Amino acid sequence: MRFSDYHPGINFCFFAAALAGTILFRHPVYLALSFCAAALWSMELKEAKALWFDALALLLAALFALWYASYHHFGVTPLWTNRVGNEVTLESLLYGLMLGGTIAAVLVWLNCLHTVFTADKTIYLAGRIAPKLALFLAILLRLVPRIKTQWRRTAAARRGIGCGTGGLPERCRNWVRLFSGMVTWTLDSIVVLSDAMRSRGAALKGRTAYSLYRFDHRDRTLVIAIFTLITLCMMAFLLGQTLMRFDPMLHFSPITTVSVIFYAAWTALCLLPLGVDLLGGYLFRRAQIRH
Amino acid sequence: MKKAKLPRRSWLTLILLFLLIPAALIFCPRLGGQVWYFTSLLIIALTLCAFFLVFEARRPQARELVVLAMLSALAVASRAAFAAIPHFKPMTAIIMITGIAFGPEAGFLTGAVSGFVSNFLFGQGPWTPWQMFAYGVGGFLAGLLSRLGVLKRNRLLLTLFGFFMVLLIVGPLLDPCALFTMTGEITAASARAVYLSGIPVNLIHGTAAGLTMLLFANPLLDKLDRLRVKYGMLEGGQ
Repeated sequence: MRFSDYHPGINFCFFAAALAGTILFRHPVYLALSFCAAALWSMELKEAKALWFDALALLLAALFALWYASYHHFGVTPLWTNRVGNEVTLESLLYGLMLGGTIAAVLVWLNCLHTVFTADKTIYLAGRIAPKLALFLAILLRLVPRIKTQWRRTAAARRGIGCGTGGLPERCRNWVRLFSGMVTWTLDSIVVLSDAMRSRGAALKGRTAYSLYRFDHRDRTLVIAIFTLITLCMMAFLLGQTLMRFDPMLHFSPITTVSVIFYAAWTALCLLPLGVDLLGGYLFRRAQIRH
Repeated sequence: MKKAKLPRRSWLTLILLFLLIPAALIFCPRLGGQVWYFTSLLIIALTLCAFFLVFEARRPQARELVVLAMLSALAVASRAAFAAIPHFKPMTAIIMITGIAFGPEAGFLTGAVSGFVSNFLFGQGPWTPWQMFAYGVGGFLAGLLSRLGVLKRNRLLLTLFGFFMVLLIVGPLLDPCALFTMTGEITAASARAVYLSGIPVNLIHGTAAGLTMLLFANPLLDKLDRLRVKYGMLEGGQ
């Protein structure tokens, strides 16, 4: 059983905790752990494709740090003087790297979220709280692929009667007509669609939606594990373990036995879905071999 | 087009839009700190109140909100498409067209939502509530003038209306944001400086709105009218 097969509420809690920690914790150790765990998991989920994404995110973080350091000059450790005569400092470079790294880590987490937290889970969770919002989301989320399909069909039909096959001006005119038609079609179809959904009772209060999800003992175990780890990380946050100062000089709490425990808790939280996925894969393969 | 008397709920909407929202814009920044998210949320709430006043008798229908959301998306897309040209925002014209077709309250809602949503692409900041309000007023006034029969559906008239509306009302509503956030204290001199430096920006913005009106007002109005007649929805425009 993979992490994505657990209850959507658990998926949601995990991503909320991981993203909140990544954004709130300023300490470079926590950030590095978060990024590494997210990168490892994304490679497990999407294989080689994720490697490029992760590398690109890191590169962007580095570029952001350079850009940031060339415009902000706080700190006490000058590194070099840039072309306009301002000093680039270690503190601002590291602060920029921290900001860029946070953005990179969030991007990689979102990349994982995109694979695991599919649209049906969003609709399922939103539908329990706000059925009208869920209806709205369902229509909007479905709209993009529907527009794509309709665009292809209309374009093919117009090509069939010989439109848009000439030179550049002719193709531009064809494109404008296509676009105009798509706007009319989209407006029309969403009215029909939302009426149809209403007629089926999609926005009624207390409506129970069909779903594949159930909450069993495996889910309970995972909830307990996640919330224990979240509590430990919150303790670290409250004790100031996750803070870091960059201005005027670098300062962070020293690494002690207790802080190692907190690092371990954060690592365990971030690596939890990867562990669940790997364990699930291993058990599945073992069961296959046995039979 | 027949001249219509304004119903009482329109007056309530007017009070809400022109007294309570400016009050929120002025008093919220005084609370200190980074309160623009709170301010924008307050304005969204007031906007929604104004919009719901229209549907006093009947409950708002999902399909009407979905259509307005779609038009907001179109407006945001038009702003994003011309992101490369600074201050060239066809978005304002699309908001005004929505107001003309579906009535002032719908125009305001579309404008405010478009301002908020497009800033997820262009960056949120202290300017967000100002943009929400300015675009909202653009849509509201276009709808109001059209409902009162002042603004006829004439291509040239719409073009000029789009240009001058941005130059004289939407633009000057956007400028005070710089006045409140960039300068420490507000004096006649700083106000003059901010407004003078805003003129070229508003000229570009106005040109964008006028051009969009010239090219797209009639086709888009046709589509929205068709929708209104076909499904009998949002009949506040006429």
